[in-house]
Amino acid sequence: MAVRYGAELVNGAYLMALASPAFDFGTGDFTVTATLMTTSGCPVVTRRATGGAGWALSIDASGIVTFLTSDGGNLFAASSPQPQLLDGACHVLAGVRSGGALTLFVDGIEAASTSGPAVDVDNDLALSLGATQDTSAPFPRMTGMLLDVSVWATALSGAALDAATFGRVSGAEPGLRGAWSLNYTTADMSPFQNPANMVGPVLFMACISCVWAAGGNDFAFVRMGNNPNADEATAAGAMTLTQSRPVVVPAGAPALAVSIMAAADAPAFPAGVTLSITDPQGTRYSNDVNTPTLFVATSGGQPWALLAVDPLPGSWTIEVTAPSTAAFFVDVQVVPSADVVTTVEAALAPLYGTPALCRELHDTALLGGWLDVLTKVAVAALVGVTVAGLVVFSGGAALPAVAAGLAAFAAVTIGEAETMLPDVSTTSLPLASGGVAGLAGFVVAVDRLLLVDANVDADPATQLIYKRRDKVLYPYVTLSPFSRNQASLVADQDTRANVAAQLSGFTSGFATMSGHGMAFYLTGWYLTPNGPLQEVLTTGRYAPAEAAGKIFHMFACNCGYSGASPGLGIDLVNHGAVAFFGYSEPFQLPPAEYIVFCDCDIEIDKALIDGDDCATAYQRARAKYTAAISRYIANGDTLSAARLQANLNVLVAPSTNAAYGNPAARLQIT
Amino acid sequence: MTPERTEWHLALPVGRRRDTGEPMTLSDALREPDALASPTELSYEDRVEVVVERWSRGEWTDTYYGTDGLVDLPRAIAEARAGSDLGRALVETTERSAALALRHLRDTLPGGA
Repeated sequence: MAVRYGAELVNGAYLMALASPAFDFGTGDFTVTATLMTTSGCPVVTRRATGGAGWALSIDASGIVTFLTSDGGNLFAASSPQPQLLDGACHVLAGVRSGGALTLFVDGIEAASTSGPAVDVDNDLALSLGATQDTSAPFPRMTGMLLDVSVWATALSGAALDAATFGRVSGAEPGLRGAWSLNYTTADMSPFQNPANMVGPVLFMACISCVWAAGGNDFAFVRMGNNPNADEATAAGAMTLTQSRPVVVPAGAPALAVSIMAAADAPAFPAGVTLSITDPQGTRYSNDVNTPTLFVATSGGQPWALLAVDPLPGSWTIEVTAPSTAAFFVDVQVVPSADVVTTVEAALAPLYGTPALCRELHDTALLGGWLDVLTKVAVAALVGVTVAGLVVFSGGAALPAVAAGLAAFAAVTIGEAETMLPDVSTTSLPLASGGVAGLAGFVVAVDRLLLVDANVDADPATQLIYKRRDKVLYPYVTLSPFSRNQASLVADQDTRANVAAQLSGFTSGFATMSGHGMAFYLTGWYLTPNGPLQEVLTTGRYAPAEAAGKIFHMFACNCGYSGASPGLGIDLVNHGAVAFFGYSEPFQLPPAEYIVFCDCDIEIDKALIDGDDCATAYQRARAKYTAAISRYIANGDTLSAARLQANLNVLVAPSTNAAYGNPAARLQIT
Repeated sequence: MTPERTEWHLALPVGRRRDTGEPMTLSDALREPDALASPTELSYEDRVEVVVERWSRGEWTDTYYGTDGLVDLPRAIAEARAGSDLGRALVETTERSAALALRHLRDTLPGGA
């Protein structure tokens, strides 16, 4: 990771790749791409002398872009109809010749096309970057910054064109004839290794990376960022960098989300950075707002996050200014109006589908965990808005606009989103990202999760346990990759037949169950109305498929019994279960303290859902127990401390005895 | 621990004197730590009476225990005195509570050690 650099061209300086047959496209198809920042008309990438054969991609004084080809006599050109680009912000250009058609793309959108004969553009000139050898051109040199230039002997389109436009180039792509990132290097990544030689005092200057995409269903996306490495982050002489980008919000788009985060796992506003958000009417958002249709959270007087429900259609402008030493990401997303996952994934795949090509900064190591880069980026704006909202306003259910935006993003009801909000992690962006990605269906866990809760009305202890699991664990599952690969059996659904059917229905996964436990069985709902409770899982009375490949956690007394005849937990492991968590003896559950007592146990579930192995899950639960015990003691409630200590003493897991399975086992999420 | 809670703990019985068998409060135990008999030195009946005294003076909240349902104070006392598995577990838990309080106040009160 490092700051992104580009070639700063001033005072007539430019770059030149020597003449090469690699650039001889004849009458064939070809493509040229470039990223630039400038405020004046200029040549961008050219290979043509005055009146001769060749081609050129250039901008005139008014900002109109032209892609032209000529055989020395005939000249064909596609020009953008409206002046644009000369605002100093980051823009991408692409010219494509396919057959006789020239197509010009400005900022990823087709801006012009023309058709005619495919003229022979060959000559013996060098390739000029930021310059032209056409002496009749009004601007022979570029003043500005140039990066990610590439030329191809093929007509790129679709995802390949999008990837090339933003410099996602490995060098091995078919048809690639030259690729210069200009990221503090003049090297050519293509097999032709034809460097862009400096002509004049070319400087490499830092810039804020900026990529964007659009897709169907009104989807639009922008990410700006800077991610200095350790040396760069502490270097003297930091420069002030600015980047801005318009985001066009279509009429009828459900929501617009904007957030900025320091480039770290813990959510924070990046120090020293300023963010400006301006809507199509010129309104800037810099104060806290929390209404059903608009949410703005600020930090230190700066907008930290914004979510607009039914946002004003038109061009919003996002501008960020930061020292080159600051590490941050700005994420912007217009939430798709339908098919969120497929829409977003399709649009972002050219940019983030091949992580190794996301070399410019932020896209690989940071924000770790098991989420892939594309998914992390896909959810980043919504995660940032949610986390900032929870931090600033301290209450998920009280963020109606965020809930509405999250509901649209995750295809859930607003009520469901409001329920989930408080469970989004406010301390870890990877955890928050995993949760939102799971909720929205970007990640569907490979392993299956089964939740079973007796919740028997004649047995208030099981009701208390379910009450807490329903409040804490069930939303945690919904806000996880298991959201769309899980089932639950609660109360009268908790029967032997249902448990057998569910457990037999998956070969690898996790069953977390609560109910009354005896050494050799777990009970569920009534066997008969008002009759005894039925045994839903009993030693020696289940099919091998029910145990095979699963991690079991029983929030129930006794099932972890380890006497001469193995209890239910050990029996399950002996018959193919991967691991078992439970209690070897009765535990205590004081109603006045049931929240604390239950939460200690539920930590096992949370850890496994997070992807931790069984040993870590046990350690997390143990840490939760011991922290609660310490708090009780400090508060003078040593009875609760002693009771909780007694429960911890009978908690069994693979870490306490190998008979309970494999401590290294974990759930397979991706 | 608040001063009020500390005072309350200091006045609770934590065991008996090794030499005379007289009840000792936590305050007594802090002053004369060597005089306090460990639970293993006491009869079960003596241990129960110390625990019941603590319960009767407020160190009790109802609790579910295993499959035994909700245990309230009268039932806890009855089970403890009957020496049932449930009663013994409750006694041991309360003895642990007393030990935790003793250790905490010994470590935190000025001159507690």
